[in-house]
Amino acid sequence: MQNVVDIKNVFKSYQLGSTEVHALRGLSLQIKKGEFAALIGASGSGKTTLLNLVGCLDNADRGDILIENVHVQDLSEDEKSDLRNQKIGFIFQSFNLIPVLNVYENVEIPLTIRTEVSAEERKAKVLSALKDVGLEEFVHHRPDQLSGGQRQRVAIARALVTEPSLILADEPTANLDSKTAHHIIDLMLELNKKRHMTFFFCTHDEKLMSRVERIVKIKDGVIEQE
Amino acid sequence: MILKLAYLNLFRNKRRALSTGLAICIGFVGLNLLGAYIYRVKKALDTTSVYSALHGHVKIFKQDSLVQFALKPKKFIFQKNEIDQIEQIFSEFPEIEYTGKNINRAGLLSNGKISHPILFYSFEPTIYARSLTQPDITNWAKDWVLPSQFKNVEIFKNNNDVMSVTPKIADIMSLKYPLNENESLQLAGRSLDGDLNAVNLELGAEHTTGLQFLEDTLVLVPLAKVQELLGTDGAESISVYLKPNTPLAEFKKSLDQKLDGLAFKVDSYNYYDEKINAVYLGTIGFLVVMGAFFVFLIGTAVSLTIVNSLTMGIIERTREIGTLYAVGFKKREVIKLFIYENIILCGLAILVGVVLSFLFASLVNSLDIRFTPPSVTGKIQFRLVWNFTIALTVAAFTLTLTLISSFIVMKNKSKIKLIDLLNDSGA
Repeated sequence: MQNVVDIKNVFKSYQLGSTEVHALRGLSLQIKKGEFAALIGASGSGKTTLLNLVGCLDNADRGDILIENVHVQDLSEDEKSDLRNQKIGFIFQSFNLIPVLNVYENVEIPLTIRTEVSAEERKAKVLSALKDVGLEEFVHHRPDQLSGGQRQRVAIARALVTEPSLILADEPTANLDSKTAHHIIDLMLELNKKRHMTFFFCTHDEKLMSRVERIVKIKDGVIEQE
Repeated sequence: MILKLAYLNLFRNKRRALSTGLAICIGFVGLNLLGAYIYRVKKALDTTSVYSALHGHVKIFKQDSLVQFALKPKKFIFQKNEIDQIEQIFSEFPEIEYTGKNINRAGLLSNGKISHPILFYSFEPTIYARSLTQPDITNWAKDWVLPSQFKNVEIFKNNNDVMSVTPKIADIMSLKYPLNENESLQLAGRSLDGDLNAVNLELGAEHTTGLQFLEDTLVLVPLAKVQELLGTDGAESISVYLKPNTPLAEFKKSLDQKLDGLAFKVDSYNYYDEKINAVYLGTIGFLVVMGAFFVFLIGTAVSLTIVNSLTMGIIERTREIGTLYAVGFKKREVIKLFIYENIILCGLAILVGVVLSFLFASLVNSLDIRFTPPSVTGKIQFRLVWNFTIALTVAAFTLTLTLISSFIVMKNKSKIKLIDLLNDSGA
């Protein structure tokens, strides 16, 4: 099956005060299309750093990162923005919704910068995404009028509205209670099956780990085991 | 969507948006009213220079006459035939409304008891009447002319021997009010040949120069009487009064081309030329410097308020900016979002400012506040003339200031790495 993500011998270090932290030390990893993969590891093992590099939110020091066979190191900032918009969806731990926009508008945001998508098409995509996450009744609600689980559903809808090749999630259930976390996991699995979307997320959540098809364990900046 | 998001963001921190909007609004109102005051003073100076001081829009002298006329008046005076040639040229310009001849000289004014050295400015009664009844005088400089001067118009028309003195000269010479036509005065001076001469004049009118340093010096004497005193039928200068809305620069250029064809050389000056109207240039120069100083102060205050407000807004919304980048927004789109926010706020502030400045100007004008500016005689009304062009200019300036301030802040803040934006605690 085709690789959505292909990471080859990637290094990344950063300064933490006067100390140089080697977050990734020659890490290699492939994520195949349609996979539902979890990245686990202790705190400081390099999970978030890896996710940030895959999401083109940060740059690697060395090594190759390919998203659908595109070398992200070769891209300009604007090209990376386009890549994020078209190929990658993000689900953040603290949802990162825009408080002044309602549910519909929050989900619509990534599509508003796509000139090739007409208004009608945009509306259809937003409503479809909201239907997939079960929030079609809440289109006019603001984030502060929603529960934590509903907010994360909005974030998921925002991630999938552009129909990306890859959805990256950083601890998507960390801020949710157990019952809501299960619902979110169900939803992500359902979308993975229904839309054949590739999910790659880091988590500490045992509930989530027990339900994924692939677990990637990272330790000291390298893949320890799968 | 960016525009909508920018608009909605204004309601995020209402107190800050209100205080920033208020600062922009007050700055706009301040600049607008400053502009309204300068505009009013400029128009009043224009009007008094052209009509009250009888300079006309363009004043023509023989070449070098400004320096040489006092020493060699006979050489530098326009002779009758020369005036005819110049008037022939005037007839080719339909934009000329009327013209007037002038002679200014020094002399001694006496009523038999007291003699007082003066400068006498000549006037032609019909031209004086026409100038003082111009709509611009009523609109812009009514309080810069003595009310009695409007009545004098008829006196001059009916009696060619009546001269006009200032209240200060009347006081110096113990002339009794009401100034009486039956009281005669003698004006003594040198003729063009250098002989001492004198003419009898009648009292009956008063005027003001508007300037303290001229109030004890300047009298107005009918041109015919001055010509009689100097023994000439010529004139030192000719004033050209243009029809409303005539472009002065273009007219003067065309006129100068025609005047170059004369057998004798002439100099022409705009009414605001420093050589014939130093007071105008000095006053406008002062106002421009004062205005520029206030523009700088207000502009800096507005700009710093915007910079401060925007910086605070960015600090509070760092993670949100990161999220926008994460979903695919480009730097220029995020910069645009914040600039739109400030432009919308500025636009709203300007709309309120337009109404406020108009109401404030109306209130000040209705209160009829009067004051005496430095070196000026009498009190003039503190008038604020609200003007659409000024409001538009100030609005454009305020918007530009907002745009530049916003852009500078955003340009600096956009250098923060995306990962640092997303990891911000939101503090």
